[in-house]
Amino acid sequence: MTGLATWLCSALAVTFGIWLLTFGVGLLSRRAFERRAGIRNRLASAVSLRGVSDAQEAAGPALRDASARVIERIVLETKLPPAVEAICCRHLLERRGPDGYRRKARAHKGEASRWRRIEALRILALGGDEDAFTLLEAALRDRDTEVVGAAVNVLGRVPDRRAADMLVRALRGGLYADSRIVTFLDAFPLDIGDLIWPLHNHDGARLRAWGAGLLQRYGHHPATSEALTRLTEDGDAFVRKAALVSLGVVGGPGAVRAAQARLTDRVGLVRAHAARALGALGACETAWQVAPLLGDREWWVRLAARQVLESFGKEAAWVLIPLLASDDPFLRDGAEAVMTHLVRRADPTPAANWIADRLREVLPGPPAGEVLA
Amino acid sequence: MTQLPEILNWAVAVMYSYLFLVYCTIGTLVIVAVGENARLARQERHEDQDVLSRSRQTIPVSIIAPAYNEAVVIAASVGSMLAIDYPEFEVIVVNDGSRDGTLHELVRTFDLRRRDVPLRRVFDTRDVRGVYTSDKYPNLRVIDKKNGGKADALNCGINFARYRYLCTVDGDTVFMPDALLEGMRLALKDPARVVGVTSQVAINQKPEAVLEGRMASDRDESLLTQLQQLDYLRAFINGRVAWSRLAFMLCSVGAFAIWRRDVVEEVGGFSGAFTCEDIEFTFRVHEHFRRLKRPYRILSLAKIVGRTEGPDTVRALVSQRSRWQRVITETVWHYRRMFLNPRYGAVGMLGMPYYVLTEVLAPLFQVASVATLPLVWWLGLFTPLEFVLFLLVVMFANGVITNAALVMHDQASRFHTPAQLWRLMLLGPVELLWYRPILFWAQAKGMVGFFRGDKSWHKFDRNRRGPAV
Repeated sequence: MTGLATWLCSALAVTFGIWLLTFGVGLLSRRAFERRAGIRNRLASAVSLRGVSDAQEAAGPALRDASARVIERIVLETKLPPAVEAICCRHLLERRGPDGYRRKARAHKGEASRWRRIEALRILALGGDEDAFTLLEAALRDRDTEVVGAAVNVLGRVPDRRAADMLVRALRGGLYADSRIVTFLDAFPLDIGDLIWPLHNHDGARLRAWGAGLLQRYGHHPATSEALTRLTEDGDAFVRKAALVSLGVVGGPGAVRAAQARLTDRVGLVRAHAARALGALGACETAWQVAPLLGDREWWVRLAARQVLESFGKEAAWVLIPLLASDDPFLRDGAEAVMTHLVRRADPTPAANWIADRLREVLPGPPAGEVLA
Repeated sequence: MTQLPEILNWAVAVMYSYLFLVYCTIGTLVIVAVGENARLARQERHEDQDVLSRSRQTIPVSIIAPAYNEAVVIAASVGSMLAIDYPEFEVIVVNDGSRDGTLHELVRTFDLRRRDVPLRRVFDTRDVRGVYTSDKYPNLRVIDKKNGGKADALNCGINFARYRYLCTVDGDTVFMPDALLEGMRLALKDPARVVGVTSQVAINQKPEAVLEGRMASDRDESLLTQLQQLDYLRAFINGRVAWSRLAFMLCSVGAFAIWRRDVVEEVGGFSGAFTCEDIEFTFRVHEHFRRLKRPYRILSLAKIVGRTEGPDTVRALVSQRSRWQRVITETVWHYRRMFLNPRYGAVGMLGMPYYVLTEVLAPLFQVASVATLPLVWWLGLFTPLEFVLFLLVVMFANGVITNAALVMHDQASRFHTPAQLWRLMLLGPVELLWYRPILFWAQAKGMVGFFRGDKSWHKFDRNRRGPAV
C-alpha cells in the first residue's frame, strides 16, 4: 500500500467513525425524545382524567417512573398544559430540593450556565418556590438580554400579583422590549388594574401610550372611558393614537365626541385612527365628518376613511352623493369607490337600488376600475 | 509531454487543497451552527408563543406573494397564508400577468370582487390592471398587474401594503400556521436592530397535497426530492444559521423573508436588474448598513415554515440550479467591492470570501477535477485503490455534514418521523454518486450563462399532478 493510500485509509476511518457517531447520536436522541413524549402524554392524560384538584396524585405514578433529568427535559422542551407543568416543577423541587436550582438561578458565567440559570428560574417560579421572585428580580436587571427575556416570559406565566408588579416595573425601567412586556401584561390572568392605571398618567409619553393600550382590559370600568377621552388630547401623537384605538374598543359616553374632535388632528396617523375608532364604534351619524378624509393628503388616512365609510353602509351614501361632483379628484374618486362598493355589496333593497340610480345619474359611465393614486 | 505527469500532480495537489479548505470552512460553520441551533432551540422553549399569537400588541405584518402561472397551487398557497396563526396581518397576492388562469382561480376560490383602492406609489412598477378584494376574507387583496418579473411584483405589493413589516413569500409555497409567529418572534425581540428574518422551506413534489392530507408524509416523495430536501437542510441548518450568528447572513430566501418596511424603502426596493431578487436584495441591505455604519441584524431561523414545490426531474433541477449559480455569481460580481474590505466587517472579510470559495469557484474546480482525475488514474499517478478510498472519504465527509444538519434540525423541531430520519441519514453519503454530479453540471452551466450575460428566468415546469387520491 502506498503512502497516500495509507493516509486515505486513516482519513476514511476517521470520517466513517464520525459519520457513525452522528448517526447514532441522531437516532438515540430521537428515541429518548419519543420516550419523554410518552411520559408527557401519560402525565397529561392522567391529569385530564382526574381533574386538576387531585392532579398531583394522578400524575404521581408517571412522575415516579421517570428520572428527575427526564422530567426536567419534559418541562423544558415541550409545551405542557399549565397544570401539568406546575405539577412537574413542584415535583422536581420536592425531589431534588430547591437549593440546587436556587444556586443555578442566582448568576451565570458562559453560555451553558446561562441556560441552566434560565431553566432553574422557570422551575422555581412555576413550582412556587418562595425565593423565585427575588431571583427573577435579579434576572430582570441582568446585563444578558436572554436572561432578561426569559425572566419576562416566566413572569408572564406566573399567576401572582408580584409577577405583574415586576413586569410593570420592567416596563417603566425599559428593561426589555416594551411590546413583549405589554403583551404579557395584557394577557395577565389576574386583575392588575391598580398596577396598570398609573401608567396612563406617567410623565413619559412612551408609558402613557402603553398605558392607554392596556386600559382596554378595563373597558367595563366607567373611569376607563373618561381617562382615554382625556388622553385623546395628549400632546404626544402616539398617545392620542393609542387612546383612540382603545376608545374604539371600549366606547363610553364621550367616545364618539372625542374621536370626532381628532378627525382634524395635525398628525395623519391620529386622523386615520380617529376615523377607525368611529368605525369601530359604529357611529354612522359621523359619516359627514369622516367623508372629507377621503381627500386627505395622507394615503393611509384616505384608506381608513374608505374602509370606515364602507362599514357604515347606506348611512354613508347620503353623505357621499354630493362628493361625486367634487372638484377634488381624491374626494370624488374616493366617494365613487365607496359608493360602488356599497352597491355591489348591498342586497337588491329599495335603498340600494336608489343609490345605484343616483350613481348612474352622476357618473359618466361604468366605474373605470382604475387604481387611484 | 514529459511534463504532463508533473503538471497533473500539481493539479491534483491544488484540488486536494481546495477540497480541504472547503471542508475546513464548512466544518467551522457546522461547529458554529451547533451552538447557534442549540441557542435558538432553547430560546424558543422559553418563550410563550400562545400569548404572542393572541396579543393585540403584536406588530402587524403585510404578506406579499407574487404569483406567475401558479394556477395549480395558488389556492392552497393563499389558503395556507390566510390560515396563519398571527394576531393581525394582510395577504397581498400580486398576479404578475399570469397566462394560466391564476387570477381566475383566485377569484373563484376566494370569492373576489374587483374594486378601487388607494395606492401609495413608493416604487414605479408595471401597470396595475385591477385590484380584487373578498368579503369573506377581509385581509386578502389580489393585485392584477402586467408581467414585470418577481422584483416588480414585490415592489407593486409594497405599494399596497399597510403594515410596518413585510413578509415576502412565493406564490407556490404552502405555509405552516406558525410561520409568521416564528419569524416575527426574532424581529420583535429587538425591533430596532433586526431588519430581516428568513427561514427555510421543505421541498415537496406537490405541497398542496400535503396540506390537503392527500400525501401522508415525506415517505411518498421521490429520491430526487428527498436529496433536495437534504440539500436545503444542509444549506439552512449548517449554513445560514451559522452565517446569522457570524453576522453575514447573505441570502434571505425568496420563499420566506421578513423585512422591516422602512429598510426596504430606504434601500430602494427589489431590483429587477438581476436574474433573481432575493440574494441581491440581502447583499444590498448589508452593503447599505455597513457603509453607513448603522447597527442591524439579518437573522435566519432553523425551522421549516412551509413547503414548496421542488423539481421532480433532473432536467428541471439542472434548470433551477444553473439559474441559482448565475444569480450568485452575478451578485458576488456586482458587490465585489466588499470582498476582503474591512469596511464591510464580517460581510466583507468572511461572507464574501466564503461565497467566492464555495460557490463561485466551485464549478471551476469541479470541472478541473472531472477532467484531471481520470487522466491521473489513466497515467498511473493514482492507483484505483487510492481513487476509491478518496471517493469514500469524501462520501462520508458529506455524510457527516448531512447528519449534523439532520440531528440539529431534529432536535429543534422533530419534523421527520424516526423512520424518515434514519433513511435520510443513510442517504447522506450516497448523494455524492448521483445528486452531486447533477449539481456540478448545473453549476457549470450557470457559470456559462453568467459569462454569456444571460438574465432569463426559466421557471421549471410544474410537476405532474395526478387525480386526487
